[in-house]
Amino acid sequence: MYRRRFLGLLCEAAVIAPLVFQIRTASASLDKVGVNSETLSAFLDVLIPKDETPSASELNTHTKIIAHGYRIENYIVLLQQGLAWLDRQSVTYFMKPYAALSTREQERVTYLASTPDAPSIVQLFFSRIKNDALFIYYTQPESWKGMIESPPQPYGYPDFQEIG
Amino acid sequence: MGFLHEDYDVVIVGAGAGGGAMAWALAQENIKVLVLDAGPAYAPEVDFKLTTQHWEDSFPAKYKSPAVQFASHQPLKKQYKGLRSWNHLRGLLNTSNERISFGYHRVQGIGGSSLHYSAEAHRMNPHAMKMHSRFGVAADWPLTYEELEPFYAQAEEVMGVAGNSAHPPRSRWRSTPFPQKAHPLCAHSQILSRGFNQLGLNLEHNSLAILSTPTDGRPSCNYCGCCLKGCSRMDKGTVDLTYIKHAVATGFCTVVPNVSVKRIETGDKDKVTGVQLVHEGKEMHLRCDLLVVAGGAIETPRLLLASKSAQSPDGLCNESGQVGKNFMETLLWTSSCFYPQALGSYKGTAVDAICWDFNDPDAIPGVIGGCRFSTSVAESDLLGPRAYATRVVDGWGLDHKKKMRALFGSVLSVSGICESLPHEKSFVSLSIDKDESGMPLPVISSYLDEEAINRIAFMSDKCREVLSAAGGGEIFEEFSSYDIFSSTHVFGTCRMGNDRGRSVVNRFCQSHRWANLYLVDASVFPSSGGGESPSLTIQALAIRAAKHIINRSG
Repeated sequence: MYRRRFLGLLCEAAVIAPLVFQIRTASASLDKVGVNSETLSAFLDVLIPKDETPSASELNTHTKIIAHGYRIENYIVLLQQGLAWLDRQSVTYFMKPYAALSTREQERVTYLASTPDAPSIVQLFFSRIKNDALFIYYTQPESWKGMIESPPQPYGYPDFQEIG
Repeated sequence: MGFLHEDYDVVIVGAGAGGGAMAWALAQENIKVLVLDAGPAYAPEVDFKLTTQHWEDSFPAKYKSPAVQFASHQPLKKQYKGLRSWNHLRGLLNTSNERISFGYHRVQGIGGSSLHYSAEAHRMNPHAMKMHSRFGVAADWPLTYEELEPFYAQAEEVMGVAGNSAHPPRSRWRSTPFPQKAHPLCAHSQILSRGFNQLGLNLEHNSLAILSTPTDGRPSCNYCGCCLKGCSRMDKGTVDLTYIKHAVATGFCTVVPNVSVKRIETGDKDKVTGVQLVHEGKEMHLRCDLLVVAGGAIETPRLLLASKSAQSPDGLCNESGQVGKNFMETLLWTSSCFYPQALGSYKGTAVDAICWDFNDPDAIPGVIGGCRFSTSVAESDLLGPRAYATRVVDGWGLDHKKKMRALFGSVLSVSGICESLPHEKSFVSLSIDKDESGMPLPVISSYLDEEAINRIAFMSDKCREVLSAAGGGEIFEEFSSYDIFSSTHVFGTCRMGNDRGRSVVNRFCQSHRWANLYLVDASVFPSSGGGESPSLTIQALAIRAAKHIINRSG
């Protein structure tokens, strides 16, 4: 009996775990009102772009992740610092904030955040926000196309014996 | 609170496998029973989420899970770095240098942990019931498989167990066929069976309390794979839908959820007289003529130890000093890999196939204690897009989305679970911290000795070999009890035995000292078995204990 639940818990545990990291002194001067939702929305659309299924922002992943973040200690600060870093890099390399860049440019800045060369706080931002965005996005049935058609019940899988 | 003003022949604390089976067996004989549980009642069609977009969530507990503390922080050794838990996207799942806890997982509520179990319905391997006389470890069961067999058959009938009567698990003779025909193997298990066969091993139909034929007003399974998330279809044999439903139908059983028992009271002549309980925020007293405790191998010793008094200064039933000792846990290894073809690997019953070839206690070379292997896509929760997005598929952007569609349903997963043997450093005790009712929290101390680690190492080797032989590709995730404590099956903390100096209850699960107190859960197991799921054995022991009570009262 859920004797072996642990692996299943991994998804959820990562999403709800409190964040432990060194908050930089500079964070005190960050916008206290909230998160730069334009940058966040653009960033999530780079991680989860539109193809035959909707983009992250089309499924409101950015607003859901902010709402989710307010329940977790340090989460909003992590968002603020990570997004500010994306904007700084964008200005440094392309002289425009992240949201104003072309998709290709945004991908290049995003790649910088994903590498081990990025500051540790940015690495944490990238991995945690990516994980949580995917978790939230793939909770929505619009994202399931090409995998499953609906929740597993009430129909189940009568074809469970067929390979393929 | 009307239940406080009624008289009952028997009060049962805990509505899981042991408490439910006991209630059913007593109520059938017109014995008036009250069943109390600390958790709520569940309505499967309403409470479970399998028809909603949130179906991938884990079991939807309707209460704040009671705290259990973990005291052991066993250092991890470099020589066993190959036994660490990891995921290819996340790295080590335990980044520290000591063993950590992911928790003790159970459901409190009417039906207990059967609400989230995979419905495995196993009989104990008779060879694993004589561990002390054969190998000098653990303790012998004070009863034989032969004595337990009729009660196994009864339990299987009530739960609706499906299995392959032509090939029952090794060493377990049967007096009756399985009540239900075995479920066909899913595609994933068909592929894995090729790997087992390549290695000269046998992957067989697992015996499951899941209906293959509509019975008792419940439908047959439609193979959604989500047994562990709460079966909204109700084909899974949970204790609330089987034992408790039929016990209540007799008119002799009353079930009250959300009642926490915090203390057992005793009187003269070595008799239990009642319990202190908390219901709707109020402390109350309930008189008992006969008390059955079925809280599991953590909560039962907790309650006994918390019930110490002048008559029992070391805790109730603890004259032997064995309450809380001999703690045995789930020792597990899981490997999951990619498979180069779409399998629909998320379909099927949760654990439809099992290998018993190493289940005998001397089957693993050089180590005492056996193990089993089984398919584990569902138990690894590799069932839906969310799990794939965060644990299986790497990258981001368009490439990630394409891979999601390409890889979905293309994984293999296999687990081993092995014998857990008592160790002096593994036990359950009481914390100085207390819960909201003022009851001390339980503390789990767990230690893995070299033998336990060697068993895990054997399982890791074998799981990897099986995946490779089955044509599996790169392994992307492994989970190990070596570096992470994570148990649902726990045993042994109120051991049964014939020697009252070395055990807590006798062969009928009756306290050696308190004649009107019975314990019916896995706390009484003298040994864990070689990976058998304990639920059916708990049920069989409870029905047998009920017969003892009936015979006494008759």
